[in-house]
Amino acid sequence: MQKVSINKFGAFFFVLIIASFAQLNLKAAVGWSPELILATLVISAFYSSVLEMAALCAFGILILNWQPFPGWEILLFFFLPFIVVSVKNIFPWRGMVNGVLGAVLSVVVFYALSDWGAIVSNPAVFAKILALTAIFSAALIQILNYFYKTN
Amino acid sequence: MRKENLLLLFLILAVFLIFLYPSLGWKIRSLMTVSETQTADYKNLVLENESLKADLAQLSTLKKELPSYQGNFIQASVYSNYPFNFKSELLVNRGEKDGVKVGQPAIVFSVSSKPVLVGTVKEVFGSDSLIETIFDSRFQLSVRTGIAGVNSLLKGGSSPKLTLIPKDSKIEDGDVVYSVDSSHPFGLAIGIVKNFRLSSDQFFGEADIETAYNQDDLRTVSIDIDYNAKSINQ
Repeated sequence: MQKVSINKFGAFFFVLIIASFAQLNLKAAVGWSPELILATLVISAFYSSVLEMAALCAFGILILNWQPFPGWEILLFFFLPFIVVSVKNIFPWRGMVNGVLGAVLSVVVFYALSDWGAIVSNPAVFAKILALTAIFSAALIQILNYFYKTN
Repeated sequence: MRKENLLLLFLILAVFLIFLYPSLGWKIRSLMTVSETQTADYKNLVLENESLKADLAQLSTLKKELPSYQGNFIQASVYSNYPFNFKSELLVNRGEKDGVKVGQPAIVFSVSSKPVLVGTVKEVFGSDSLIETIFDSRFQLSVRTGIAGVNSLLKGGSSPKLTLIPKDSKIEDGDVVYSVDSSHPFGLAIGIVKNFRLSSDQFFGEADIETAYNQDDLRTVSIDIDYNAKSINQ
């Protein structure tokens, strides 16, 4: 079992705050935004223990929940990082590719399950969301690799 | 205290807040969202509304034929909105105990007190309800445009569009769009036409819709609690 680090958790918590700020304001300004919060949670999962991940995901859904009780989309959002980490060994590539692929796939799964029709009717916007999410994920992994090792 | 216990405490606190005090999350989110200065927003809103008012005035020739819409509106504060892409839902502080029912229209009032459609009540809780707005990609509505009353279909999305417009229609930028769907009050203004063009299949026209408000700046909406979605137009 991986050792818990409060400093590392604090760093990921800070990244999550920045990603939330960027995503919410991009959506308010442009009408859509890349899934920076989900990407941050998925990538954090590659570096964190289960407890750290759960705490980060819980804070993420506290910010994102928009209903009196969390709906299934929010629950999906909570569990996706855990699912990605549990299946990451299936991917044959290196850490960087795994992280980007995990983040992009989790966005695809999230929208496919929550609103498949929206993907079909807005393919251009969805492609932009995926592309920007992939770029953000790659940049985040590069930065995190300077400081931490993946699990 | 051990580090694991600290994290566990954080996790338990977060879960507790999610289920028992979700409004804290909504407050944190609203703090994270930078809104432009109120004065600039207000001026823009007034200008936009004035233009809408002018467009509505153009409809005055049709007024004799249009039934006047006078609902029983209650004001509702917007708590939170859908945070992901493609859908647009608002959580407001009025629910079943206030008489809100699924299908009732949610509107904002222009400066001339004309109702402008924002969306429809989609789900009702005890003291809250969810409104699906015209910026939701699932939202569709039969509408007419301009004095000529050209029929078309409004398709929601982050940029709502008018589709299936007969291509030889005389629609101009600035023409008002209003509802003619049996599920909504007849003649309720929605926005104005912008950028009318031929669709990719060249059989129909399509256009963007400009609204007099920004969906993320909405802080209050009004719900017509007397409107029965199944009734014939009032």
